[in-house]
Amino acid sequence: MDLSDISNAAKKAFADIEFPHRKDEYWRFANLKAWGVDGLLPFFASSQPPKGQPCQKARLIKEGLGGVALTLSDGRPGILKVPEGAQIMTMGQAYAANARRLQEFFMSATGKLDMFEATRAGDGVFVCIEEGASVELDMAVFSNAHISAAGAYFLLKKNSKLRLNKTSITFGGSLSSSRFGFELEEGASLEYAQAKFSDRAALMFEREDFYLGDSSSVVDAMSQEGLADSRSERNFNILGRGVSLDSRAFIKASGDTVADLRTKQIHRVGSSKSNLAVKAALDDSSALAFTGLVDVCEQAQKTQAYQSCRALLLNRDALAQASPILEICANDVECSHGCAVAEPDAEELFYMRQRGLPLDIAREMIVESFAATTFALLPDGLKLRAL
Amino acid sequence: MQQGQDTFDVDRSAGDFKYAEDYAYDAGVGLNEDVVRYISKVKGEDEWVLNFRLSALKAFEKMPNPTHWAPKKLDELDFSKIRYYLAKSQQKKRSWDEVPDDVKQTFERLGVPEQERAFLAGVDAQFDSESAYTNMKEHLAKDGVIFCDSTEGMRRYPEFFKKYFGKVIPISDSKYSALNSAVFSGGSFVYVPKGVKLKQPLQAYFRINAESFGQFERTLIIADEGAELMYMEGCTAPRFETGTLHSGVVELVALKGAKIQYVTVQNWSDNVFNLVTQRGMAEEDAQIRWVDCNIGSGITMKYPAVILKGARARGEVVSIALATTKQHQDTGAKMIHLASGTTSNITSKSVSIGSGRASYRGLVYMAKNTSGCKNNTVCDALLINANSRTDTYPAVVCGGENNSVQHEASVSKINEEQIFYMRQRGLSEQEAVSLSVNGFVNDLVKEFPMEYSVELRRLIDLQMEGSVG
Repeated sequence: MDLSDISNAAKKAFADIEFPHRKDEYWRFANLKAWGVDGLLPFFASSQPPKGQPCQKARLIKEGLGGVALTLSDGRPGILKVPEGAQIMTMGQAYAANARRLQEFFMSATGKLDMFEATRAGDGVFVCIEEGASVELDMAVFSNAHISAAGAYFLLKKNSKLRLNKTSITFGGSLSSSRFGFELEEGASLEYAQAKFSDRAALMFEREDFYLGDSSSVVDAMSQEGLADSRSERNFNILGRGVSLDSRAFIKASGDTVADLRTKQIHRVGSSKSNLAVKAALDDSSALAFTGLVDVCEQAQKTQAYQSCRALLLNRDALAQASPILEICANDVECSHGCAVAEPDAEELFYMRQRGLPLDIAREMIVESFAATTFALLPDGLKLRAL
Repeated sequence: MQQGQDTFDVDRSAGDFKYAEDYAYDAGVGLNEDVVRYISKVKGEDEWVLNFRLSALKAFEKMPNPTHWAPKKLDELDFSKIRYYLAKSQQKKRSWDEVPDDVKQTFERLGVPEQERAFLAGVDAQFDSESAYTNMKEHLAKDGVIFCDSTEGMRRYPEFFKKYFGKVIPISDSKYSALNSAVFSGGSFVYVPKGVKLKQPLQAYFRINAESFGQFERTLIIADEGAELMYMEGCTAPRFETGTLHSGVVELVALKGAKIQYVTVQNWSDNVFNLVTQRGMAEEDAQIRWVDCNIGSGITMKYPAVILKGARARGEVVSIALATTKQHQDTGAKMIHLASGTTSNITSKSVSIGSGRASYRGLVYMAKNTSGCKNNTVCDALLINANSRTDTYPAVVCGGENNSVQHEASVSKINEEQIFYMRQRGLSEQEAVSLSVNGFVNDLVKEFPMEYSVELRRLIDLQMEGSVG
């Protein structure tokens, strides 16, 4: 089987997979007007793709990314600089040495949109961080075409360390489908900051899979803002002992957009720890749709797993929808989840207004302090670039 | 506690007995329009009730089992092998002396007449499809309180039934509410007039005696403005070779300023499918409280709900679930906030023993046009053995102004230091674990009426037998 075989198998599977529907628990709160057949069809019917208005903010973000080492534009890689200790290859170049790994990665797609990305398995990049190396990498993903797919696979070999900063922009009129895999071998460490922005009349889909080996660690922070609906699927597969995972996300939504986030913390092996925190500030008539799963398998004793979802409602038309799920099949574990939805604290607003701050500035400060902890565990350099 | 040491020998002697099946009325096996017409004819119902049943049958036949989210075990239910209506008599009894001997002995062994004398305002005892005995203290009737079985209630008080029946839980709410609406029989009808406050609880006791039988009681409770009542139900069945279905529907209506407390303790045998729909509607300043204990059954799916329709209404669910080997307790709560200033509270505790599985499934919904609503939900789960399982599936939908929702859930095992402490003081491991489990649920057990809470502690001790060793 080569990459074209994977691509052909994915095309066949894509036709057979149903469009997202309400009976799928993981699409329960999603905006199916956008992600159902009626929403997706205009992008696939290429004769008249949706047109987005040019967005100044998206252009400015792109212009500010001058020094990135790696870009993916509609899946086409642009390798501008290869840091020491890293190898960056096209999928075609990497396939011979990593055939089984990549087959499993692409064929693990189960939904309409991640399977669509697999139909373009030949595009995208493969990044390998050599054993014991410590690498910093800036990366940008642009989606311009009316259907755009981008994929990347990161292999972090034993005791290596990657500091990754990723910026994703989906421009107006584009349906982007991205897929990223992160495989961490024993003792490897990933510090990962990412910022995502989607323009008007776009749809942004991204799936990320993390495969975490013994004693590996991930510190991950994501910020997301946009003018269009988005869907992020993040699967953390904890396959080794002594894994430490800290994943945080901050979503700022406005207009009538629905920010959809689905996470899975899957503990296959015990004695590991995972902590996932999602925060959202929702303005206008925007909505959050969060579904999170903590899955602890029978043999994963001594697991510690936490999950939290907190939403701030900035407008009476905003809507927070959350479903934090626990499925626990082992008894010697510590697992918990929490979910809270509320408006900005009235006393805090009163305090700031008494000191002369206008209401909108006071609310903005509350949102900023609410979001501040998202990047708290990342080193300053990575934090600043992401922000 | 290790896997493989979870064999149980639970003493179910209190409910595990049966008498010979000799029924005067039997609708046969399987479900079709003739069965529905037979039930309606035997009960002498008005045409509007028959039409209600027939439209429910159509809805039931169209709806699939909800196995896209619910346990796949539901597909094991074979509706064509169930008996939908069995009754010994159509005559209601007001005295235990009039009740047939075998039925009377059944309820005597379960302690129902004794409880009636000791602390109850009224009792409704249902044997398979029909109520065998209904009685209420005389002074309550003088106050205008109505307490009878649903069949009698429908015949004598159609004005209440036409207004409220099937309105809180419509026919097409789910496959099982449609099934109940098609073949319902028995259950209680309670009406408490304006300002009347019942000091003692009313109790219903549901008993399944026949094999391959489905019990479909339908309860409607209306508390008029400022009225207050507590209603308690208990359920048992002997253990049969084939599965038994219990699919009740309970509708509560609390009018302005009324308070209803509904207490359930179910201890069905472990091959009963217990699929119950319970929902209350609370008007302005009204309060509805579900206190729910699920100990028996093979699978329970029950999510008591409160629709907070009037301003400042309050809803509460207090729930305990014990799942032992081969049991799945899929329970939870729903709070639907449709008016401003409404508040709700959900407290759920579950214990999974052996390969038992306890799931919490809940929904808190706050509509966009509401303000000042509050909800707090706490779910705690305790896992006893290495192969025990627990799940939590909450859903929160919150819009509106100045509304807040808080949900938290935790999963833990028995504290080893606690066990060590108790063993140092001479308790066996079994006793120590049992005491620890009782301590875990203690704050909720206290919410039950005293007579029930004593029984609950005893049942929990029985369930724990054999879980360690």
